[in-house]
Amino acid sequence: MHKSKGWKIVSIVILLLTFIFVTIPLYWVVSVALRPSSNLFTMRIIPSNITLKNFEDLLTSNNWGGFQSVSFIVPLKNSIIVASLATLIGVTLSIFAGYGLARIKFKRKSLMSGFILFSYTLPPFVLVIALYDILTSVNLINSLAGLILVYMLIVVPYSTWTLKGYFSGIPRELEDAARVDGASRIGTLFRVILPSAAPGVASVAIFSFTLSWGELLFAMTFLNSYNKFTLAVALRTMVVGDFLNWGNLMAGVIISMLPPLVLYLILQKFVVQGLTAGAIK
Amino acid sequence: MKSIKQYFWILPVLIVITGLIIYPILWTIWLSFQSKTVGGTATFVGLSNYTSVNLINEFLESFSKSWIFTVPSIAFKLLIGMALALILNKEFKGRNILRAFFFVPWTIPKFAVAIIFIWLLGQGTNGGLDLMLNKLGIQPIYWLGPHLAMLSMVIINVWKGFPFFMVGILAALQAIPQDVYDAALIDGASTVQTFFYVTLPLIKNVVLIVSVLSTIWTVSEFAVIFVVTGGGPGNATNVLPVFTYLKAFKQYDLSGAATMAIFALPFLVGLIILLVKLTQKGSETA
Repeated sequence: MHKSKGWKIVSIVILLLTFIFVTIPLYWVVSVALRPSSNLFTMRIIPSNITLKNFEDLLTSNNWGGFQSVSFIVPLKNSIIVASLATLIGVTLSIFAGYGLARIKFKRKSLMSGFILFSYTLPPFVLVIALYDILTSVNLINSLAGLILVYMLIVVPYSTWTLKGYFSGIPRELEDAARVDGASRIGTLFRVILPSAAPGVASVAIFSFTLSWGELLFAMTFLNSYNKFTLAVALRTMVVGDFLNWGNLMAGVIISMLPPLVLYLILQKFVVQGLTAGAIK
Repeated sequence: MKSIKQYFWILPVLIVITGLIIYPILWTIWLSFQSKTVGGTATFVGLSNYTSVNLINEFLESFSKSWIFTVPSIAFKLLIGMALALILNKEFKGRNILRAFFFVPWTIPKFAVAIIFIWLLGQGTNGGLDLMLNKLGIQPIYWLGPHLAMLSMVIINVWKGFPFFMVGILAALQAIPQDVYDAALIDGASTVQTFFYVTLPLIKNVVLIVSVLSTIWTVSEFAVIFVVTGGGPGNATNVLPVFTYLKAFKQYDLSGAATMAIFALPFLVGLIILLVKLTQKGSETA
C-alpha cells in the first residue's frame, strides 16, 4: 500500500523533519565539546580549530565544578562501579525469577507477575522520601553500596519482567529433552535456556546498565560528598550559576553518553527486541 | 515441601521488591501521619497532614502541572512515533540506518539530555537554537521564560521519548502478516481505510500499552525538568515530582512531601492496574 506519490512526498517530509529535530541537539553537543571555549557562541557547521582540550581539561583538573578537589575520574569510576555491580547482581537475580515465572508452577503466579509489573512502573519520586529516611536510619546514606542496593529496585523488576517474556518464548521441547537426559532445573537453565536466550539477557543487561548509569534522583538525594558522586550528580553540580563552563560540560556529556550508545550500536537488534519484549509479548 | 522449593526461584526478587518497594510505601504512609523534618524526630499528628489546606492546594497545583506537561507530550510522541513506524515499516534504501539514528535520543541519559537542552534553549538569549534562528533573521526567544518554559519541557520530553513509541509500534506493525494487507487491497480498500479498519485494530493493544507506560513515566518525570528549570521560573514548571523533591530536601519537610506522594498514589496505581490489564489482554490474544 501507500504507493501513491502524495504519500511518498509526505513520508520524505516527515523523515526529513525528524532527522533535523534529532540532529540539532546532537550536533551542538559534539560541536561545543570539540571547540575551544573562546569561540563558543559562533555558528559554523564545522567548527574551526577542532580540539580535544575540553576533554583533557575535564579529566585532568581537580576543579571541574569550580570548587571541588577531586578528579573527574572519581565520579567516572563511581558510575562504572555502581552501574556494573547493579547490573550484574540485579540481572543474575532476575534470571532466576524470570525463569521461575515463565516455567515453574506455583500458586498465585499471575498475581506475582502483576506485582512485578507494578514494581517496574511505580515512579521513583514516590519512594525517594521514605528510602532517604530508611537509608539514613541504617547508615547506608552517602554510600555506593547503599546506592547499588537501591538500584536493585530499578534493575530487578524491569529485568525479571522482560526475561520472563523471553524465557516463555523458548520452546519447551528443548528443555524437556535435557530434563529427560537427567539434567536438573538449574542445569537446564544454564545449559539450555540461557544460551538460547542470550540476546535477551544481553539486551536486559544493557538496559539495566543504561538505567543505573543515567539515574539522577536517587544518586543526587543519597550521595552528598564529592568523592562519592556518580557522573549524573557530578555533571548536575556543574550546572550552577550564570556562566557555565560549556566546553567541560559538553565533554562530560559526551563521556556519559558514550557507554550506552556504544553498547546500543553494537547490539542494536537485540536491544530493540528487549525494549519491546516486555511491553508487547 | 515441594511447594516451598518452587518459591526458591523468585524468593530473592520478592525480598528485593518487598524491602525496596513495599516497605518504603508503608514507611511513606507512616510518615504522612507524622510531622518530621530531615534529621528531626517524628511526632504523631494524626490526619492533620491530610486535612491541611496548604498541602492539598500545593498537591492540586503541582499535579495539574504534571498533566499539563504530560498530555501534549504523549500526544506528540504518539503522533511522531506512529508516523515514523508506518513509514519505516516499508522497505526503502537507508531504512535501517534511519531507524537506528532515530533511536539515539532514547539511549542518552536524562541528565545529559537536560544539559544539552540548557545549551540549546539558552540561559537568557544565547542558546544554540537562537544562534541558528538568528541566521534565519528570527529574534531570540526566551525559551525558558515563564510563558514558554512548559512548552520547552514538552519539546525535550518528545525528543527523548518518541523513539520508544516508534520502536514499539513498528514491532507491532511487523507482526501483521502481509496477506491481511493483500486481502484489503483486493477488497478495494483505500490507504486511509486500510489504516483505520485493518492496521489500527491490529496494533491497538500495543499502542495503548506503550501510551499508558509512557504516561506513567512522563507524569512522574523528574530529572530533565529539575536540571533544566528546577521547577521555575517562578512555579511555571513545578510538576509534582520536582515539587515533592524540593519540599522534602530543600524545605526539609519530609512528612509533608510524603503526604503529597500518598495523594498521588491512587492515580498512579490506577494507571498501573490499567497497564497490567492491557498486558494480560495482549498475552491472551497473542
